[in-house]
Amino acid sequence: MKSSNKPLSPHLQIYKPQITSILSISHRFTGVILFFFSFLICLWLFSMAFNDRLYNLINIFFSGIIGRTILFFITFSFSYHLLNGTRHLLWDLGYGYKIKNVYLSGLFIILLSLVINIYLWFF
Amino acid sequence: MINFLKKIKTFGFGKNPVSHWFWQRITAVLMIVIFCWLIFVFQNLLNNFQENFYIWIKNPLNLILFIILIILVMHHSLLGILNIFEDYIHSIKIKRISSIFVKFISLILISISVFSVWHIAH
Repeated sequence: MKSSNKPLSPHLQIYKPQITSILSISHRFTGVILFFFSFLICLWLFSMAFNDRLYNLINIFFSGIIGRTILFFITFSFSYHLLNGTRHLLWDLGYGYKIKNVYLSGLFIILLSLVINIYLWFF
Repeated sequence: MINFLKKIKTFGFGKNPVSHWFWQRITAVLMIVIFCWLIFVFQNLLNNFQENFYIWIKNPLNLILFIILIILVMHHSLLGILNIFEDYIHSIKIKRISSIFVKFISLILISISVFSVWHIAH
């Protein structure tokens, strides 16, 4: 197998876990989850347009306990990815690079997305 | 300015890594705006969602923004996935094949979603 000379990114096990690296990999991980969720959104739109039985089936599944648990993780991924994304955008604009601020904003977005989800699901 | 236009032209698929970076940010910012609007609007549709959605999507402005959102979401996730491939797949051949595969999938998802939404609206 022919390989490029470009080095790969170091694999994740190399790093000692710390809040910065955990948040960074969670950003990717939640991104991948949301990508797979887009399959479901697509199926949902399709069923809404063309197949009422499938639409009802999907609705019934996602009002059950398993479906709601999945949706909980999806909304958490969504809010986390959105908040951490804005954090990345602020970094791109040049704000918040002090290590203290990086920790603080990281902690802030975790708490905020937890609060958002608890509010969304329990109130 | 010419460089800026070149970046816009490729949608992040060119050989130029800056273009990839640039489009990821552009789609991200646009998605933040549209999603805020969408969450705000969807609150009013929630009881009897299907019927309300059918009425809501008939408005051309809503339809266009919804379709733009679908394309933005799929393009942003496609760029993200390609980025992951770039980081962790060493073999050029496998990387190329999987990239084509993911592009194909996201094209299909866009087509089905847009077609369905269009069908609902008309």
